[in-house]
Amino acid sequence: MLSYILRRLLLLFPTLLGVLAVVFFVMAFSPGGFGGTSLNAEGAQTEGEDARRAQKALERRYGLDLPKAAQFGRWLNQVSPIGFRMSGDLKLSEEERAEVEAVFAGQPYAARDAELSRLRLIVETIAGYTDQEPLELAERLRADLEQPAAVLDYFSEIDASLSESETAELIASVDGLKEADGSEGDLLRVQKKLLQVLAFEASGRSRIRYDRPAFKAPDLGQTLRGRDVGELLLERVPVTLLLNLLAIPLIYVVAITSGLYAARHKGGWFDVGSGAAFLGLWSVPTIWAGVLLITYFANEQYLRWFPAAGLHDLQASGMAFLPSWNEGGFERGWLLDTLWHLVLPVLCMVYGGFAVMSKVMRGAMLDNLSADFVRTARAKGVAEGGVLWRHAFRNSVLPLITMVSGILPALFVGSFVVETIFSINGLGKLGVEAAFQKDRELVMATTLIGGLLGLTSELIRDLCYAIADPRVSYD
Amino acid sequence: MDNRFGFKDLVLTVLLVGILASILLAMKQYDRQWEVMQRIDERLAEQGEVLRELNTTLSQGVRLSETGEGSAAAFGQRAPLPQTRWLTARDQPEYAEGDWFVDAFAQSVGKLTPLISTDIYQSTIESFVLESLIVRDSETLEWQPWIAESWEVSDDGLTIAFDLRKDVVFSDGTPLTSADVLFTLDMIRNPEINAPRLSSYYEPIESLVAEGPHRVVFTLNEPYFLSLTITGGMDILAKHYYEKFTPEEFNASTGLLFGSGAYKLPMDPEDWRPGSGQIELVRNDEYWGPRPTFERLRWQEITDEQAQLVSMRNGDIDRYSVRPEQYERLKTDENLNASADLYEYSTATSGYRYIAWNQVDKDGNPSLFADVRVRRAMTMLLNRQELCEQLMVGLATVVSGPFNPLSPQSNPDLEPIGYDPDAAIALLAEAGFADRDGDGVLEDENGRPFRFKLIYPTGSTNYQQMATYCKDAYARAGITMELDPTEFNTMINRIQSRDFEAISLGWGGVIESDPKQIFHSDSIAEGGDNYVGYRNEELDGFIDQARVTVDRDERLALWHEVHRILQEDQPYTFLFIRKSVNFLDDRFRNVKVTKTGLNDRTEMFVPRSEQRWTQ
Repeated sequence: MLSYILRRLLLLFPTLLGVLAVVFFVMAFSPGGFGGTSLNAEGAQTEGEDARRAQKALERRYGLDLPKAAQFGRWLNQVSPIGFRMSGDLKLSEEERAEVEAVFAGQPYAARDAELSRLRLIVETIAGYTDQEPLELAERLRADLEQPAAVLDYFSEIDASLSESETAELIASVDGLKEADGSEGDLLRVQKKLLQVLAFEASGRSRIRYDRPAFKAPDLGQTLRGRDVGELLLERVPVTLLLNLLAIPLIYVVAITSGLYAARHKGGWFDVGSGAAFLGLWSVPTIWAGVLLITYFANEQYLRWFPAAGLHDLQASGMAFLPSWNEGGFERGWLLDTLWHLVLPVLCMVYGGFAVMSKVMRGAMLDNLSADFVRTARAKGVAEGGVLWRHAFRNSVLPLITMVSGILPALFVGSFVVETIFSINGLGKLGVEAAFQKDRELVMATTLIGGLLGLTSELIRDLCYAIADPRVSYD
Repeated sequence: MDNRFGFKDLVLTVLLVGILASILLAMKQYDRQWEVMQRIDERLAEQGEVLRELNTTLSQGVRLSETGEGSAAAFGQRAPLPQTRWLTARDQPEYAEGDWFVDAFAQSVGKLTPLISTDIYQSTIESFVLESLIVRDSETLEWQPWIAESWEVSDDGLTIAFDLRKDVVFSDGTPLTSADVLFTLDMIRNPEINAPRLSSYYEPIESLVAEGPHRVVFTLNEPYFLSLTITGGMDILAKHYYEKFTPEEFNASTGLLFGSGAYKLPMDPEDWRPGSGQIELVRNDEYWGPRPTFERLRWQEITDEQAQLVSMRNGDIDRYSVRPEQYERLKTDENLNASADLYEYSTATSGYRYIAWNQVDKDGNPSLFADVRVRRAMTMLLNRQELCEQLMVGLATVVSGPFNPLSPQSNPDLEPIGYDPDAAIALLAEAGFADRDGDGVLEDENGRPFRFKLIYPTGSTNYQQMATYCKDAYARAGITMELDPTEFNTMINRIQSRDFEAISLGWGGVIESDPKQIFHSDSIAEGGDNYVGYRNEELDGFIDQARVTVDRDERLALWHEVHRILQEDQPYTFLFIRKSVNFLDDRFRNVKVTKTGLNDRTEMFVPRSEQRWTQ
């Protein structure tokens, strides 16, 4: 058994890697690639310079100028708990910063604090990127700035993604300097121009440093909109968990009891009725049901029993937590308010789930009720309740265990449709929107978590088989 | 049966779990109470601070008046408040403070921090919290003083000096001085701040110096027509507040929104977290101008269209934006019209839709559309007026060029080219296209039929209907247009590689736009946005000249020339700009339609008897 578990665990990683690779490369090779579009939500274009700058900033933040396979490697390194450091994570110490700034102090192009810190940032990034001593680099840069033509080399050192026209413009401005009468003002202008472009190209540039791998905190990266992916997931998980923790037990309780009852009175009105009703519900599309629920149960024109959107009332932040009675009458409090807002979405998530579960339960129960041991039990004179619960039910639970193991990943799967209709910020909406926006880090993070949960629960399920069913053995 | 799990055990377990849960809930309840107490404490401390400051000023004022420089005289010097538009509401007899304005967002806002946020709706919220030196009047579209009480532009357009008001304070009572303006520019240009695209706008600024605490002078590298926009239009950040954060902290923050505006976040901005489904601003009691009318501004996040409509009917939100396909039905909806008013308007900031004709074919040779006669004919064959009235149910206006008709940039003397199929066919014949073999399709001299493909975004019924309409219109003239709906990202790839014949899309709008990106021949090369390969030296000259002309009237004359040339050359067939249609709850008064849309909600109010929300 132990060796089986070990084998499965070892298999888990290549499988996960495969899943991640497929998702990553499908995204990378899809038209538009990462981040994709420079169009805004209404389909209007943003003006070119703007879009180009944004694109460049993205390229540097996510290393998009690397080959696709290297990008995947970079991402894996980023999420793995053991790996190489990124050059961008190397920061200068306070003293080093002061030393670097002292090198440039007093130069006309570093007259203001902001300009000085820009120079420091340039030195910091290039030093990390090209493995140079920061202080030496700073000295060299200061010397080179006196002869601006030499500064052009720095762009190739940091693999800057300058377009031909940009490079031509820079060279022209440097060449223009030679022809000019060499006045101070011209030099300063060229120096400032060079530093500006260099700072833009250097900011956020980072590469893997192949020194000794070390333990580090796994980093899920940043979304396109600049939010921390881990933080964003933590914000969404409780919402989805809450919805699922209400919905899934409800489905199980209703489905199991009705399945039991239907099997007990096979062919009776309840059996036929519940079977038909559940199948009917199962075939109603959620998107339609959700809109109907809102228009009929949350609308002043019909019945306004429930709220139409969100998880809290406008005034919820001012409410007490528990329901209370005071002079103003009954106040429902924050807890009840939340539950009240959850009624429609949970209903929407639940109604389609009864059919499968209750049919499975009913089938298993019928099998067992006609089995020999039940007949024996009856012949022995065991009371009907005892037969039902102690003999038939216990044996019918086996197939249910199989289905229960799917709960673990299911708890973290949000429903895009329900969340969109009821304006709830859960994982479902997050994942689908991420895929639409081609937000790579977010899509990869959800894939990673989903894959891990799915594979683990499959392992647990297989182990449960072995424990529950003596016919299954892995040795 | 010995130690089986029986019914009694079940009851016991449920009971235990229940008790544990209620203990947990009680703890949570206690926690919340404690938090509320904390908040009240903070409020009290804040108010104590204000009181103490008031006391000191009062006592100083008394002393001052003894020396003869009375505080009354100091108040007398105060420049007139710039919020004249707000003040008109206050003259109305029913005017009352209070109530909330509840709006809806269709998308969540993840970051409120200025400069680094890229959320579409963030700028709406920012406009109530941060203020700029000067603002555009919504009616005249001219710049008017705000934080700056006056400004001077030198004759060469290279220096712009702003004199700041002396009474502007941030929402914690700290005065706004020229140090804050300098700090803002430094922030924007700090390469460590995650705003590379923003800092590029400010590249033309050579230097910024403070001459005393209430005067700042910008110097520019070169004359630039948007110089007032980039200098006076930047939102001022508070130095004393934002300098507490390192660039890393700033980049990672979500809610650092703090300024001198009429509204502020109800909590410490550092504690603001996204994901609650609503964003709320409260009145800034320290506001330096007139006291803001609404107690709160709130945005509910309602993603589903139907849910938004239901919320509007229920009175949970105050504004609902109507899509063209709903327009006919909702215009006469009794229930909605009973509690809300319908407003239809065009704004000077809405963008236009177009069909772009690629003048270069795949091999780099001139294409069908390289001939200006063909392009003009393509425009004349479309009945754009009918397109607006039928497809867009009247919610669109035909445009004659890339400039918004409400903007002064647009040439008022130009009328859109009219629908004239006969003249178009004559033009096409002149260009060498005629039906030579009698099959109803036009051919050129070599007998090749006139056919092309139009790409447009998939997934939009509106574009789909429009494309079909055009196809019919061209088919009537003997031109075969094939439809090629394309997914956004693929479309962008094809634009970048210039792999298309005609394309329909929209450009976003601003009050004074820079046509260089789209129509100047410099933008044809690699990645530029002149992707149709349009080249006109006269136009280039006018654009270059206008961009460095600082004088408003001279520049507008040049833009009008640009507009005229574009009208003649038709590099695009300019289609229309869309109108906005909004339902607004009818309890609001002083609602006006201005050139930039409905007037700002700071100008509206609700009479005391109709107020809905309080807390």
